[in-house]
Amino acid sequence: MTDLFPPDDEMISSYLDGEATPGEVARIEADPELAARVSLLRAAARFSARPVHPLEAEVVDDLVAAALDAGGLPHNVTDLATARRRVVPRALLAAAAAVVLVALAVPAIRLISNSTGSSNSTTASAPAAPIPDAGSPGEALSAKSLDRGDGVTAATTTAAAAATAESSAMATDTADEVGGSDFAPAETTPYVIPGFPPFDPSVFDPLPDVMESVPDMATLRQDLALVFSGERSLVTGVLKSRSSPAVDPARCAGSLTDFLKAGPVGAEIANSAAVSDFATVSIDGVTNLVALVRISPTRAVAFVVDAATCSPVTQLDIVP
Amino acid sequence: MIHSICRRIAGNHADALDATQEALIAIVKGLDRFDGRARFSTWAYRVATNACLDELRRRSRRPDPGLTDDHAENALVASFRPRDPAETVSAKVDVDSALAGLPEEFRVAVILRDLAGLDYAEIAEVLDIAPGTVRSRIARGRSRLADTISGNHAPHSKRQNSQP
Repeated sequence: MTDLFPPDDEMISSYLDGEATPGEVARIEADPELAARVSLLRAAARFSARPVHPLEAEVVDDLVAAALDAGGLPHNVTDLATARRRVVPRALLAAAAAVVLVALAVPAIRLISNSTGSSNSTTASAPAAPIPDAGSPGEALSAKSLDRGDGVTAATTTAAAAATAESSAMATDTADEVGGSDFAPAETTPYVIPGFPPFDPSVFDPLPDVMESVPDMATLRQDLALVFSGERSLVTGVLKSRSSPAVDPARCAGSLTDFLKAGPVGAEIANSAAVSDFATVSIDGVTNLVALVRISPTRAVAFVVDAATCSPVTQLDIVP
Repeated sequence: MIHSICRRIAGNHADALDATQEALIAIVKGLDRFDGRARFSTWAYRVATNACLDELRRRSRRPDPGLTDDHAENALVASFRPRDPAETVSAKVDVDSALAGLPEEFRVAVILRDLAGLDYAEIAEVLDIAPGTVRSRIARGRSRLADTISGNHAPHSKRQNSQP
């Protein structure tokens, strides 16, 4: 087969994959013409990396069951919906266990302290132990990860476990690469806020995964406004890596969702936009997760949460 | 991920579903032959990729982008205003259509790299080809995709080279 093909593309493509030789890297980074071609091939790579819409859990169940049947292996795959419902009884069991423990502890405390007032308040507070609310948006996001786990463990036969272990093994392999995260890689598990389209980094991806430190929120707002208006590119000179362990929006998904809805522009966001990009940025020594949401061609909002605690920090209106 | 690979190889939902089914069956039936020399994921990718390709070859049917279910994704793309001219065009190009325009060997290599995130050595193992061939196929696939999404379907006018 004869193929007309720019000879440098092979070198540039392997450069994008981190597979180029040091000599090739030096040559590409010293040549502006090659750098322009890098941008084009990078766009192509991002384009082909766009995630596929995931299958419904029931469809996956059917596929696995049919495969086990065809393989002549017995199967007893627990329905995902059933497995999902088991989450609540586990939580109730934990709460019940807490009540029993307190009930056992109260007489002991009475015996020891001979105090009657304090034991009543202890007993009263015990049932208020938090029980996961699977109906909340944040928990719904968490439940997605939980479902994957249940999907694997719910397969009660060796064959079923083997059939489902491939996805687990792949997720584990990639998780190792991103620093042991419990979540599937960002490339294959798009971050989804209920009611919003999936996050697609190939659509609007102006931020490096890890931004340089800024001294305060005002500077961050200023930087983001420059990036948003196209006057400045923070990506210049920054090695981009979607698998950076520093960016794990799924871990703070619940906080981000609540923050998105609670913000003063929440209604606008719900009507018109999705999370456009994520980055981590160190602000005054604290690592924060920034979710950039584009709500119109001329306006974006950055939601900032503490990356360690997932607690909301602030919301910045970005108008270039 | 197996479904994602089959989806992009097949180019449409219906064929991808059937191909995924065949891939899972092949994995279940082939479990006895997994000897542990490769990572399980690599072995599973290999079995799945071959099963997907076999299924599609059996059908002898070209991918049908008209049946894609990526309308929501494309609608989202259209709601943004990309700055990069290449992205402007890519916003109007369907992923399945673009990938369908690639020769099968380029398409599979690109999918395993960009979508599945395998490195060159793993792809070489999955496809049973040399790493140098992997590098070449990915580059050629991306080069053609770059032409597609930038709206340049003509042969490269600059720095072009004829290679076997």
